[in-house]
Amino acid sequence: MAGVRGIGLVARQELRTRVRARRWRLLLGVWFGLVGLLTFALWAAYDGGYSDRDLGVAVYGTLLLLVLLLVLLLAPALASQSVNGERERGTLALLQLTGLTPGEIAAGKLVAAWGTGLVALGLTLPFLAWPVLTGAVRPVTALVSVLVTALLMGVVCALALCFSAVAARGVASALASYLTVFGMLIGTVICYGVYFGLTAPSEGSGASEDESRGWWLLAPHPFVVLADAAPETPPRPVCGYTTLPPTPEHPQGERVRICPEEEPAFDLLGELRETIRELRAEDVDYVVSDTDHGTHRYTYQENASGPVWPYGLAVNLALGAGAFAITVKRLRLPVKHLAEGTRLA
Amino acid sequence: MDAGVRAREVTRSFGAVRALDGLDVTVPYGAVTALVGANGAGKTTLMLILATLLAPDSGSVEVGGHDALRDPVAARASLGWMPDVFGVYDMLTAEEYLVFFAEAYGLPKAEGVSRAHELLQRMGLAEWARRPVHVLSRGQKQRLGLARALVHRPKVLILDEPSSGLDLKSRVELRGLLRSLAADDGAAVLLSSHVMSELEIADRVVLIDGGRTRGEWDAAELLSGRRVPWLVRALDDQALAVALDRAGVPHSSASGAADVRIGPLTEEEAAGVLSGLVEAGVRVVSYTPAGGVLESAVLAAGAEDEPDEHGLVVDGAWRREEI
Repeated sequence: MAGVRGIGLVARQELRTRVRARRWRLLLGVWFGLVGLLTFALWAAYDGGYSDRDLGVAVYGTLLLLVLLLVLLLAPALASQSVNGERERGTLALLQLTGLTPGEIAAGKLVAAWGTGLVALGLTLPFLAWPVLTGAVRPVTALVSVLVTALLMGVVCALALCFSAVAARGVASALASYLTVFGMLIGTVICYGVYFGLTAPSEGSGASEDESRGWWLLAPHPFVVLADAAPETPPRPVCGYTTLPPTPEHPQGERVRICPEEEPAFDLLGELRETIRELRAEDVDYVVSDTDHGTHRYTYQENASGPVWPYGLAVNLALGAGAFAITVKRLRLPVKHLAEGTRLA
Repeated sequence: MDAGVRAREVTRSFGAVRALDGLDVTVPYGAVTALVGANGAGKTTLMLILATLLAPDSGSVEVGGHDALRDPVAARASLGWMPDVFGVYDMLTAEEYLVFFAEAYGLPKAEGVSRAHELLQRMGLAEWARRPVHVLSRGQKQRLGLARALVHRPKVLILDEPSSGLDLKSRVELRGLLRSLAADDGAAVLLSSHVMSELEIADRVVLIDGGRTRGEWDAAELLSGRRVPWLVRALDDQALAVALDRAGVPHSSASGAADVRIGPLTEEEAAGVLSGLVEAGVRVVSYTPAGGVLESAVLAAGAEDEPDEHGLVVDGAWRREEI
């Protein structure tokens, strides 16, 4: 049987079950209402202090991160009982004995869970589209950010699916999935904090305090991946360190931290992006020139600090791929080792 | 013998528990083979291994002419399996359920639909085709499960406790279906049960206990010349007792029971006793082997084979259900 046909068959079956179940329709309805409510609250909160364009940017960035948070919380619910739930219903073994391969079953279930999540993400598009339609956010920014959100949701779905294949009980796999999401959101930050503390230069060590440390620990954080991957809206320089031209006082050139003179509009995505790139950059490349007023002009050089998101996204995708491979392995027959309390059929 | 299933020296342990200990079983085509044994005898473990769901520790398993351990995919294509727990997709209709599995077995959609209709008709579920599976009765679900197991036209059927929890009517219907599958379709049917009355539909009986095969019999052979108790009911109990005494047939009657237990007798002797009773003017209304001919014969054979070690009759390990 062709792989695509088998995957489609399993996915269709899963989606058909979900579409007919009232709770899924209810869940999507609640989702739509919740995102709508958040959008309204954000417009109300930011209104008054910004121009229309800046308001759109502010709402978009915050809303997108909130949507990502909601997506990460929704994804485990979509897949964390896909395999063990079917085993508990007594249908998994029936499915495994058909001509479907373990890969087709796993992929079909992943597609169904992810597809349901994408429907939920699709329901947020009308709210995210408004800043784009008003010109506050570039279409390419919206496209990339929604794409990255979708990919991260797929990763969490794959992890939850894996837990459902490993754990005998649905409660255990759901718990493990939510703990994983917690680890992605909070655990990475805690790890970074611990690492930063442990590697902080001691007094007299001579090490520079601006040295970047442990940025890679934050790279897989979903918010970081999303913020760093989305093209800037509007383009903004980041703060960083540079070395000024030599002067009599500083023959080697003074090392200073510089930031743009004009504060751009509040943009949560941009703030995050700036932070992670600053962490990564030991030295941001600025061109310093004299102005007519005797001051220096700092011109931010694009790509002075390389993007972080490819590393973060790669780690996330590798996690998802690994989880999927484990799921496929767990669906292989015949079973050699049976955990205590597990029934095959 | 052309066999749909051939398992040899199969062993399987779960931790310290040895569920199967060198078990042999053969399931020929065109016959219903009953795998009987007490709870914990190893029936379900064997069924899972034969269905290619569970790997044995050692031994060989052949299903539909394929080595089930080396080529489980080919073995699966030739077998239909029905577990003791009916797996249900609540939200599907009976027809959708069958079409889904037909497609999962690789049948084109149109053929799957046609096969689903054919099976629903055969199982007496045609009028339930468009109803959700969850509204079906247990017996109907069991028949739907059998239809699912047959959807890809397997030559080997493995059914784990197929009558479990069924009412009398459903059980009789299921028996008819299984007999027809073996006799008309030539399938090799293996059913497991701890309910001894299931044996009535079997052509062959395999008795397992402690993970080992205790005996394999052809049902006809098993009955031939074997003495089993019989139950007689007459309109006049007094006349029946007198006639039996005169004929010298040992009999007993439990207090309050309508039936009189006689024998043990072979089928030939039982026929002679019945003729004598009728000639003596006793108005017999019921005359049947006690608990089923095969049940009594298997118990007797099992007891003969391993009377002390297993104590199949006296330890009450069997759950006997009258239908």
